[in-house]
Amino acid sequence: MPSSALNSGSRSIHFSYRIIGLGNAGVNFLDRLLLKDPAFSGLIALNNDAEALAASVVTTKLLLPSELDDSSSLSSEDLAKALPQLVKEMEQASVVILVGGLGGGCASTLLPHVARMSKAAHKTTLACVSLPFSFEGKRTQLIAAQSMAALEKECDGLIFLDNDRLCAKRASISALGETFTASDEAMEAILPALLAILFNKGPVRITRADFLKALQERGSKHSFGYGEAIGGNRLHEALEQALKNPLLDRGRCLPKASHVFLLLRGPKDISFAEVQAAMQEVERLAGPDRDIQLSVYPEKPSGEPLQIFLFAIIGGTPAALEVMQPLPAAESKLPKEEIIKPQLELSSHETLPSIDLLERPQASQDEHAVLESIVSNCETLASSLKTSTKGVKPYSQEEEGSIAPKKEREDKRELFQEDLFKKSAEIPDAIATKSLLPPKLKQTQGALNLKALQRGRFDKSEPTIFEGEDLDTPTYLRLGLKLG
Amino acid sequence: MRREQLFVGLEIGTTKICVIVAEGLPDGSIHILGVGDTPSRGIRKGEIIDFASVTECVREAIIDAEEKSNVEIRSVWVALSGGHLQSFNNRGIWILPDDHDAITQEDLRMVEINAKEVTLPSANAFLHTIIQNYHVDGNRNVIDPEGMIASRLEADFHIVHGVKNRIQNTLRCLESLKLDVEDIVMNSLASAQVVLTQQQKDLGALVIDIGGGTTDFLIYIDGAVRHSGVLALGGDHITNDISIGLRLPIARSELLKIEEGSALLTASMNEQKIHLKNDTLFSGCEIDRKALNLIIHARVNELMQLLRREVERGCHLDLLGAGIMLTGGCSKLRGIKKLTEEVFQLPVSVPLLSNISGPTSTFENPEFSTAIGLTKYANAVYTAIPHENFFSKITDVLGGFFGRR
Repeated sequence: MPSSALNSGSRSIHFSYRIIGLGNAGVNFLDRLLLKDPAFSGLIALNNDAEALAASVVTTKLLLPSELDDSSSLSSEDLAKALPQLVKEMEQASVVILVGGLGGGCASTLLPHVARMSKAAHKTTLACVSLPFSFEGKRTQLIAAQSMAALEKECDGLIFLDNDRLCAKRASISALGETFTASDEAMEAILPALLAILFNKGPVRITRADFLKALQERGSKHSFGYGEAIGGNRLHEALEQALKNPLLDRGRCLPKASHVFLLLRGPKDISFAEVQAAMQEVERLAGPDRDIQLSVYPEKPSGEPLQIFLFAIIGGTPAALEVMQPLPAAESKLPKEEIIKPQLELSSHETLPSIDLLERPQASQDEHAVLESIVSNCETLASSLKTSTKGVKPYSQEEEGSIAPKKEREDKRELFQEDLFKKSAEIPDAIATKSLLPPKLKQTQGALNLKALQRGRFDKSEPTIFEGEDLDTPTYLRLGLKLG
Repeated sequence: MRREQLFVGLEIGTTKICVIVAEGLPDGSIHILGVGDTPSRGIRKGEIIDFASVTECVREAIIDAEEKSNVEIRSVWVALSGGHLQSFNNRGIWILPDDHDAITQEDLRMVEINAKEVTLPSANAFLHTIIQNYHVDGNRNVIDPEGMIASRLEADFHIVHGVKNRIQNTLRCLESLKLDVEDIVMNSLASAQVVLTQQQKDLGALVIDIGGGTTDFLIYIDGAVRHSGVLALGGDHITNDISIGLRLPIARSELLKIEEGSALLTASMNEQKIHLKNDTLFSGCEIDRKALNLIIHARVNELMQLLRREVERGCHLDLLGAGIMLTGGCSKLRGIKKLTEEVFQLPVSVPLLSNISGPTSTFENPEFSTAIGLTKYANAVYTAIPHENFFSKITDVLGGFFGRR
């Protein structure tokens, strides 16, 4: 039986699960898990690529015989005959989790068959898969969709990671490798969380049946976020990280969720107040009538980070599903970040329309046409703003020694802002005006970076970051100890 | 005396650079001929940040060692540390070809190659592949499988890797001094050679080498290395904390740590004052002993807690039958032994270095354990490997870092 990484502390509870990584992506996920936490066990790598399999750090490696490479004639019976060790491993487990990346040859073909084998052995079978990026081609998407449809029938629960949505906000600024890493990291977080929910021995649990029932809802979409932090403000920091996850969209998709699962995992000293605060915050974001289920798993020694995992299942209403749709291809023309992010705070014009483009103006309109019109309107407005601001220098650009009197400066600012207001009123409401305004006018007073000063002789050296804390900063300062 | 029996260990530490010239004896022990050391400049947390200063410091230390030992130094065994070093355990599998009657050296090499077939970060290179045990046709824990009849050979290895460029910088520094590098050895592995006896390695022991910039640890269980690692925290952090907390210059803080500091908090220290005398560029003052010890305690306690967590990732503490051995310059800090015992709940000792002869002051000082350990490691490698293969093995190791392979 695998001894789970969930119990890195002194207890040694043995859980009966197997995580089977299929294909290159699946095996890669397992490798990452194992390199991050060598105590992780119960991992099985299954691949048809002998070279990739040899490079894996997973102990149990199974090579798919070459005669089974032909996907059209493959059956779960053939697979069971060819891989008796896999059958044996499955028999020893009560829960089997299948991991892989859909769209490729190996995982897409094998996943449904392995799932069927697991179900035939009467095991609770879950699949955790990542969907291909849109740039990987239509054929890849088609294979992924077909495989997912087959998997849905075979599994007790299917969790999928939409890579396009995960990386959409960073697409314009991230290197290709970073986007893949983000996907891997997300999967790295979901597997331990899944095990924690399924095998929680803590005081507050989610029943396995409830969780699986929620996962089984046909057509539902999954969103999750995770965060971890230590220190006095660990709850808020971890929750903030979790909500920052692009899939959760800062918690905006929570009100649309049919089920929300909140897992708090970490040190034994998780306090009642922290649990209460986390629940209140999620309830506030999701709405009081949502089905929010809580699981608390305090199994680690004190000092370990508090981990928060937020899992939302969105299904049922068409409106809810719309929120979860992958971004249209035309979006790439106009980086979403630029539209949403406020570039200027206009305190004197609080009535300025501030419509978020994420909320689509009219469901009936063609999205591409809307986006194209936005792009052209943006360009028009940008050029007109450029013209209108010609005579007015922003304060930050004022030359030293030629600062105008205060009254004159204020007049100029009002004039400038009025002009902006007029221009912004001319464009359709759908355009988020705040994104199109020039850089900040107000100068802000600089603040001394006291944290850097506290690093003393290590000020200019590479920081020693351990679990989010800069260990070069004196310990007594971080702990808030008083010396006097 | 044959030239090959002289070994030179070089430790480029954060606070000092130390060179040990020693003679390897056939019984595995070593005799120290001379010690050269100089305060180091241009090293932070075990890594080079000022190449020219480090080169100059190494030159001074080498010259010092040459003068004291009356030996012209041409090649050195180098200790390496730094937060970039990482480790993991992996198993290699090798199915013996049908025409093989018995396991050969080549098979052992192939199983090691297979174990190293893992995807490291692109910037990293292997530093050590240390055998833990062999499995022959499912027969576990075979110590020496060579010559055994088998069809399947498996081997567990402890693999250490680090950032290639950072390792190369150390080598480049020595290259510029026209010194040959015979091998690079992880700090903790070198220290363990002199801090632990074979019996302790078999029983299970943890070596913690607390230096100026880093804390290196290594676990032996059943005579094999099971886990190792480096935390980029060391005595310099304690000094820095004192400097910030008590508003003292770094040099004065270092002196205060050595002369008065303790990692323990006791009731008797509450009202005690420490008077710091006037010095160049420092006007004397009085400080609270409680404040000083509180700062040190906080840092050392945190370090030990972090270490405990790291160690628990690799093995269960109950497996450390021989307990914990503290070494390195910072192990001389008052109260650190007791605090370590409290954190790990295991017996802790600051052992004398074993199987060494020569100037007593050297091997009784835990600061020199790494450099002395290097010479002992070199002697062990020299004894274990047939003479004709000795230098080809070394070239293999270094070839990897310079891309010759």
